[in-house]
Amino acid sequence: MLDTNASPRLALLIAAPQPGEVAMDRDLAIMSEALLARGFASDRILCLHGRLDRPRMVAFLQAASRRVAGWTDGSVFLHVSGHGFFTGDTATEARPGLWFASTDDVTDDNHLFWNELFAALALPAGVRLTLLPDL
Amino acid sequence: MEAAPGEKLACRAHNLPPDHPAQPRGVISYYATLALAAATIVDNWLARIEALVQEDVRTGRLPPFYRPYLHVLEDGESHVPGKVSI
Repeated sequence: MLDTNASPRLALLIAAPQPGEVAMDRDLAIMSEALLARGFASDRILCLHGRLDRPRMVAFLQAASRRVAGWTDGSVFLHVSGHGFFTGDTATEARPGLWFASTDDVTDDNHLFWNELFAALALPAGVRLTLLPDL
Repeated sequence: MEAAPGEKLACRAHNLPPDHPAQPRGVISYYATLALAAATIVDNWLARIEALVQEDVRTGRLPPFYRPYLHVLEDGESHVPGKVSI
């Protein structure tokens, strides 16, 4: 294995299953294995899984944000396996988000809009984000 | 799917079909992980994903309506996570 990537990097792997679902946890585990096989150090892969909600997601993203706060370059890979939702009646109004459990109030802790996710992650200028959503 | 005006629309991505040998996995995650091993940049990662999907559709392992339609939104020349084994 040759790793010539001198830039800092971090992988954030999130599995957000709803009750009874197991595919998301397998997605996370196998993505982690794939990254390790590509030379990612295990301490550069941060995972969040289980019964998730807005506070847990935001806390995880803020912790990742603190970790990269001093970076001036590098990359963050974010893989999310779970479910999503949209609000808005037109393409212009559409707001997508992550959906953690079967409730309908998009302001409750079972929903997190993508713009809220990116705000919590708050990557510094110069740090590239690669996002793979499986929703 | 259609939601009433003012209400949210839920989206649940497909998991692999029950008779697929790799299930239970999310369709996108499964092919993305498989394709990652040989990818160098986002564009060829996506091309490899599409080739793997096409092959599984052709051989009947993936129903056509499970086919994901993925797009690169920004820089397809950017490097994928990690490095290729050499």
